[in-house]
Amino acid sequence: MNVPHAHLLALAAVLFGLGCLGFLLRRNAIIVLASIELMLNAANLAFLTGSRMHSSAAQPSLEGPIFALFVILIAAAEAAVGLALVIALYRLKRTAELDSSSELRG
Amino acid sequence: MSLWYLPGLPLLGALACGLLYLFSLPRRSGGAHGHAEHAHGSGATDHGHADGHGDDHGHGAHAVAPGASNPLFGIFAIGPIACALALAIAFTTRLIGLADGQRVIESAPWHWFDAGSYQIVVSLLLDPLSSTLVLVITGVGSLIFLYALGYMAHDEGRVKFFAYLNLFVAAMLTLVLSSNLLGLFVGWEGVGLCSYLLIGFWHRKGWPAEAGQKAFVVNRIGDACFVLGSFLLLRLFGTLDLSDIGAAVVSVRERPGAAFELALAALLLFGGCCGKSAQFPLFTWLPDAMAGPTPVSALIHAATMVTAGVYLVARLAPLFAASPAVLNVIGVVGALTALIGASTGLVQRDIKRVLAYSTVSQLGYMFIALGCGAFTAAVFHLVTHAFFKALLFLGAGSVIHGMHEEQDMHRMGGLRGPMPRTFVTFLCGAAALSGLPLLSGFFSKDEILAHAWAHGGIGVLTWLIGLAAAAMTAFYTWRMVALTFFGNARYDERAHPAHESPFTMTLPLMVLAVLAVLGGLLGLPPVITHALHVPHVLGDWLAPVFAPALALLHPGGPPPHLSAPIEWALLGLGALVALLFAHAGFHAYANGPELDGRLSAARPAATGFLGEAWKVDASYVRRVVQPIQRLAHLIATACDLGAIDGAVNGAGTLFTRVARASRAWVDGSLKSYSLWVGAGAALLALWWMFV
Amino acid sequence: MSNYLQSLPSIAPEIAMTVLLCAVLVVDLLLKGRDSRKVGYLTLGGLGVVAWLLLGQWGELGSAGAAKRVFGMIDIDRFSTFFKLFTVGSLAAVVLFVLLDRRERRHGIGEYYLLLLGAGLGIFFMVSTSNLLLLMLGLELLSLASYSLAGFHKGDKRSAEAAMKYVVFGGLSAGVMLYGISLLYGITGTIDLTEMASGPHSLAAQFSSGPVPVAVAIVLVLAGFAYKVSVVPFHFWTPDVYEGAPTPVTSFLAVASKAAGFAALLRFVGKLFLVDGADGAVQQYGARIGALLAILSALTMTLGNLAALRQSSMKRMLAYSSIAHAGYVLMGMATMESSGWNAAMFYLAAYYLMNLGAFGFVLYFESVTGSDDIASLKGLGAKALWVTVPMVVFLVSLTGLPPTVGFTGKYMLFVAGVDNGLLWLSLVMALNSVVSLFYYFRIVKALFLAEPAERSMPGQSALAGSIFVLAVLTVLFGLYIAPLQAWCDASVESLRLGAG
Repeated sequence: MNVPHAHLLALAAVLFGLGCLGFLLRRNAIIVLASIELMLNAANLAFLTGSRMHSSAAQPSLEGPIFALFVILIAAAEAAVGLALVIALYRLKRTAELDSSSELRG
Repeated sequence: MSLWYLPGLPLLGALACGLLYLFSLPRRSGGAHGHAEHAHGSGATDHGHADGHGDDHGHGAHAVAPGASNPLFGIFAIGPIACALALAIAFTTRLIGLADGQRVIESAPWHWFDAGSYQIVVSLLLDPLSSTLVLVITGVGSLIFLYALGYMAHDEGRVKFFAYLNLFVAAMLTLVLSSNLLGLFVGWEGVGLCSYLLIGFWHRKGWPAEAGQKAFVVNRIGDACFVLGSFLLLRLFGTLDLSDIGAAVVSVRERPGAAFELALAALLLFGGCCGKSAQFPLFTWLPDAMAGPTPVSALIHAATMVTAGVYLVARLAPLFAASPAVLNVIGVVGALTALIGASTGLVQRDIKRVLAYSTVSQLGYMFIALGCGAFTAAVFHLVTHAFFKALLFLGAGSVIHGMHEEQDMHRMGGLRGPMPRTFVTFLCGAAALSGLPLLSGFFSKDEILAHAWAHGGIGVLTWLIGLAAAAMTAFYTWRMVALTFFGNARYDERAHPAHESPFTMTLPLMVLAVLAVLGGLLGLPPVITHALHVPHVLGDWLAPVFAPALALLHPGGPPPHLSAPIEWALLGLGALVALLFAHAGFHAYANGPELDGRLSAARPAATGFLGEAWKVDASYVRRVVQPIQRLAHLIATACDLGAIDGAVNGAGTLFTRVARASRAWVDGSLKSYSLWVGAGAALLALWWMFV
Repeated sequence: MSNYLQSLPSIAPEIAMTVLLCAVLVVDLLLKGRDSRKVGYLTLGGLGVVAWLLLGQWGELGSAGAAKRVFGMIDIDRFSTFFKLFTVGSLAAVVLFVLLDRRERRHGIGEYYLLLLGAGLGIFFMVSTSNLLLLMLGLELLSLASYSLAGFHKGDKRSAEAAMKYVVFGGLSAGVMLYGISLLYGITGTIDLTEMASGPHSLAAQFSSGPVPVAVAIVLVLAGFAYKVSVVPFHFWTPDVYEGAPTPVTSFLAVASKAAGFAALLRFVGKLFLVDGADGAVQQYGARIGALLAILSALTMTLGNLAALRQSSMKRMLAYSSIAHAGYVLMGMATMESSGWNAAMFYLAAYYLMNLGAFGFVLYFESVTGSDDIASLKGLGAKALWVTVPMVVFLVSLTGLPPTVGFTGKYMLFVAGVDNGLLWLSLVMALNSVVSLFYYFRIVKALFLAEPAERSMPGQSALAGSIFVLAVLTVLFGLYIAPLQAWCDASVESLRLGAG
């Protein structure tokens, strides 16, 4: 299989854009967090593509895949903390809608 | 003895008073504080007790004034400045002992910090100019401190008051002694801070706190100019050492393009002086500053701090002399300020506001002198003004004290009977201020006007304005005297009889009265010095300091003196104007303030215009303050999105969001976080790519 | 292997920090939340050890060529040691605040120290690497700990809301930044900043052939940093989070977290754009990022100051003030000259002193009045002079008046700006410092120029003492600044030389 790099990068950009849109348009906290995951995965795809671009048989560029592994880790940790906070907020407000939080403004 | 002792002593005094206050505060806010509260409430408008001042120092006051009962308080309050005065005299004597032209005492240097490749090294430097200022500050200051001991005797916060006052003197001495512009700036900001705290000292009245804030903020505008000016100097000269700058002006001016930057730096520094010395257009804070206790008005807002701008220009005389255009600006601004101040003083009813506008106008005179390159004349007027204006303020304070906090001259009258000592001393001050012949104010003002005349060109214009302002000065001064001390009593003599102030207050008045009358001997006009073969004391003393600047200003040798007949004519004209308008002012109001009512009925617009100092303040509020407030409101509500709700709630599609956002932008409540971030990032990226 | 073992002493502070973190975790478990103060003292003691190790390291790094890179990714240089010391200092202050805050005791606080140390460890790695992977991991460790800290008061709606906003926007910025890094990797084939600047696929070379991807990548990464240090227009989370989070946490976010963001930003920009002996393309490139930073700086200080004008909550006001101060630091960076960067470093140190003090003051009064409203301070000035007089010092310093460290810092920034052709920005800054006077002195006015209040002030002498010490330092470093300045200069110097 030989997918051109440009296609992969375009896919990453589309994923990233979808994540941004989701972040902008949805107000449910869980979906917003999921949108962030989407953006992180766009980064992952770009990392792997980059690695493919810069690897040769003699000298594989491993930084990209390793970075992608760590990004998966970061995503998991972010999700754990984010969901814990969603639950804490849900207990207080009985909703996971973000626009219900408006104690702080001005 | 190092020079560092001079500002150090008052600083120690401030610390001592502060600690004394701190440790005598009531531990728990219980009954003691309730009591204090009560004293505050009445102390606001009537901080003294109605009568029996001399012997009422007793228990009531002790119970409510933390620290004041401590026997050390008097020593902490007055001791440092008295010692500083003694030191100043000792140093000046040593200075006199040195050879002419080498009169400089310098302290050990202090390496403050490096800014880029520049080093900021500060030391203290005493030369004839700074020693004159130091003597005025410590001398007049000691008298005012003594007076304040009596004036504030019943104020609950008097220990705190003396802590601030000592701190002020320390900062002021740093200002005049520092050898470096940045060290000077430390004192400059220090006096500003103390002024802020002292104006707001009686904050329980409400508006003094506002007045303090206003003074501080208006001064900050000037300070911003000051700091910018100092960068330019640092760039041009590579140093901020005042004498190095003075010495290098000539060589720097030769560099291509440097003349403009020199002028710009001088202009920016003068902007700082406009703030501190209450010149147009930044003078509006000074009249409001009268909300502070009267000794503060006398010390800070008449005798010392407000003259810092004059001192700065005199200290950097070579820099200003190198930019004649800037000198012209200074002269015109000074003349305009003198005119605004004097004309506004004509219609004020509050005795302290008359004196405040008078101070504004007299400072204008000093800047007229600086504008003509007559640096000695400016310092001369600074000194005599410190004498007679401090005297007048303290006299007014004594009147206010005796009248139970009444400041409205329309409700005074006939006070020469009950307050004889205040009356006589006040007369001396008034005569000096209005420039009646042979008093200190006459000589110093005449010297300024003579220089303005001799300067020619724009100087003649400032001379004319100065003369007009002198006429108004004489008028409002004697109007004030007439309304306060003559005519019938326009207050309830039986319920609140006026009384003379205690000796601690009248003694400084008497000393200052002598100085105000005789201060003119420091600088007799040339015609008299020639005729009598006496020196121009101050002129000879300061001559070495200003010689480089004058050489720069008049490269072809010193300008010829005015001929004797012209000088006599100018002297005579000044005396005539002063006498004539003093007489007019006195007679118009000798029997009461009826003329004021008739004038404001006949010419309401004109009197309103004058009464509000040409409406400068109102135009600030309209043109500067309100727009900033609107902008802040816009930013706080529109740009500060405050909550995610607006940001992430999406509400359907991006397009409705955008539509709503653009609508919301107009009514000022846009709450879209993410759009802003996205737009910001996109703009940055675009800018990066294409600009 | 032996190579790795030899390198271990170089990261002794990090190891000590990790050991301390584990120790705190274990001790807290053993104590079962009974007496969490002991954990606090343990933390303080451990931080003392870390500080001692760092000071030793600072001394060792004095000789020329002592800076080195260990494990291929951790730069041991004075720049990182400076910020690590900075972090340890602010951690110690925040731990003290937590220990001394009577209200924090209600919330089982063993984990508080754990999270603070975790955030600190994240900062340690973040400030000492030019490897973008390690930088990102440090940043995430800091962020994750900060999210939890912001939401530490679980029952408090405001705290929960602050944490929620923080995590959502933090996640967004992490996503944006990672995507930017992935693009940078795609362009240059490396995740190391030094190689990025110099290698065959160097960024400058790529930029001259195709500027668009490079620009997009750089701006995306910069947006992530800008978020961390609250630069307009990426600042919107700051006031909400600062106001809602518990006050000790706010002071940590405002001081340590922001300084760490600046450290990483300085290293990022420094490595990529301040390369010595670079050719014309890189020079032009550096000038361009300087101009970008200058624009951001002007925007940040102006909007921050103007928005602060109308705040009634002290924490919110200080949040906006911290945004404005970020603008001042950016101005030093924007000069792209070492004098400006020295000034920026110095200003960060000054910022650290005065803001920690100001937040300590907020904490002190919050525990008395139960609110951080400026109006609630009315007339309390004379009641606790040991705290209120230091607060005046902090405010004077924040405004930038002498004789405080804030003044000297601002003055250096001014001089650097004027010297390096940023006169317009210096003017903007001068105007801004006039505006800032309005809102800073509203606090002074409320404290001292109002009717004295009838409220008793319970003594919190330890907290008051630490605030007082900070005030003394604020004045001391304003007057005797040679040592602090020498440290800052040495740090920037080591950054420019780079690591082996």
